[in-house]
Amino acid sequence: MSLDLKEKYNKIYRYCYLRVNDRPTAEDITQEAFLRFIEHPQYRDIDEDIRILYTIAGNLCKDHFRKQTHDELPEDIPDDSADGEKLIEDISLHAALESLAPEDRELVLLRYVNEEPLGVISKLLGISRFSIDRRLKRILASLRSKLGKEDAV
Amino acid sequence: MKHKDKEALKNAFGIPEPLEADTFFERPEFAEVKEKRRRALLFHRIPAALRYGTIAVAAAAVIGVWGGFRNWAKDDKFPANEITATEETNTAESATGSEDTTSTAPEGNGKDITVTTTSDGEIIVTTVSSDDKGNSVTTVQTEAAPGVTGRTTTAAARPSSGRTTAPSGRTTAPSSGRTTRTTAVTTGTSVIRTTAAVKTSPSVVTTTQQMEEGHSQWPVVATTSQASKSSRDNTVEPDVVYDVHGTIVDCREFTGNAQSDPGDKATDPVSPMDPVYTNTMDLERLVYNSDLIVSAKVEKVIYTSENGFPVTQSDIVIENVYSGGMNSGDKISVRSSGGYMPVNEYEPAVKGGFSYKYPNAFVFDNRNDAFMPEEGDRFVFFLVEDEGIYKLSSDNGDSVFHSSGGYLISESSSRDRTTFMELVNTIARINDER
Repeated sequence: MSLDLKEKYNKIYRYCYLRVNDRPTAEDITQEAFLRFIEHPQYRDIDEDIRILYTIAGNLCKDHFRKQTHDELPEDIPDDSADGEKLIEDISLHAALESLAPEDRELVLLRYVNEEPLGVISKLLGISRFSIDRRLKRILASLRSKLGKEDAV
Repeated sequence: MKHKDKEALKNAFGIPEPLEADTFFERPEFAEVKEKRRRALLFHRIPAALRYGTIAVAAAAVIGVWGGFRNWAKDDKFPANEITATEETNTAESATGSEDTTSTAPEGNGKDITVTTTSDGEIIVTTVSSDDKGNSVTTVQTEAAPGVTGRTTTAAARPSSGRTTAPSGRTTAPSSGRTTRTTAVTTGTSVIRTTAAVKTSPSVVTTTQQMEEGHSQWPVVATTSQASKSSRDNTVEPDVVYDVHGTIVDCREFTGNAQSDPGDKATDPVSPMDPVYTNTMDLERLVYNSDLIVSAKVEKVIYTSENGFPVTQSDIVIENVYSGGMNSGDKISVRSSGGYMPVNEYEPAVKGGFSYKYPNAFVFDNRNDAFMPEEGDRFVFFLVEDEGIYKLSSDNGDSVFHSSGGYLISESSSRDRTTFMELVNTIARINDER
């Protein structure tokens, strides 16, 4: 398996985890997204358009939540604190991120964690690159103000 | 953003590492789906132009094969129309039936014509000529007397070795004396295409139509050379063409001149009791002044203008040639004075300063017995040529005749009429004098 493919897997996984906040579910959705991507009519090469992967994963996440609303709530609600691998070094930054709107949080993840180009994010979200750039600046300023220090991010 | 800031953000999200990132792509189900998809994509990897081009070529091939099969089946279905080579001979032969007289005369243009008259009164004209490709063209024309049934005809082909026979090509002539014609084209000693032209010859079809329409006196004279040549389109496009619509204003609005008496037009019903009035001198003058005398069908009528006056162009398809160097099937343009044109271009209206009264109207000018044809009409035209464009000999309806009640009747006046026989005799007389 190429490193590039694994990197794509990690990106999609993070994207899904941010939405479902559950590792097994995020992995299931990630893998399903890859399988559907291969079967997608526009699929040519798995190394190509990651935007389609994001779109499929996003739709699968929506389907996941839609299904959850119809099912009974599970008795064992995932407990993040039980996840031993979840290491948060900067509690204040985590709190600042949690205070952001879900869309803004997703945007920060795509741009600064997954390091997707503005062009990919622009096509994925259906808004212009300039608009995304402005939104990111606004989000970073918000984070700075919440952290109370200039060099936090 | 610095790398350490990105790492800080990544940690702040608190997303645990996935467990199956290393193993998922190694799973057999993923590899299986990927392989299945890869095979399916092989077709899509072919360029779209090549894919659709291949489909188009295949469709064309299927259509071509189907069309060829249908033609083959059709030919096979009507063997009576086939003339097949049977043996080689040196003689042109007109076969069965008792014959009274046979005369053969070579024409100056390389054609041999054999005329055979049978005891039944049937006339068989066999013409052998060569076309541009050196092929021998044999035409057998049978004219049966009224009430006489036609008989089997045999076409002989040259050069001197290929004989073609119509084994089942029995042509039955109706009592009205219908003319039939068969044509064979041979190359060397073998017949390359031998289909009887009885069904397909345009001149024969035309003749049948005219008979059905009651034009029993309509002149039908088509020479073999005319039938063997391909039709030419000599029509021309006028500089300006008017799409006549909207308000139509009569030309008298501007000229004040009275039009010719509508009751005098050729569209008047013709009574068989009316005496035949033939102005022999006028007919001779008409024939003498004409470069081309044809019967033709008006295929298209175009309204144009010249020097501020309306002109009507009739694109006609020649059906029979009585005098002149055209062939049946040829198309020519005939221009005649009169017609429709915009008022603001009509000279009398412009000169009189009245064009402003009808800014978007058309004027209709049919003074001087103008010939006003309609598409589909059939006439006998007396024409003169003027730089590729034909004009009426007298530039009015005097030089156009339609057939009715056994007469050829002038388009300008129903009282000016003649018969086909008179016309043919006059043409022959004028040609002799020339």
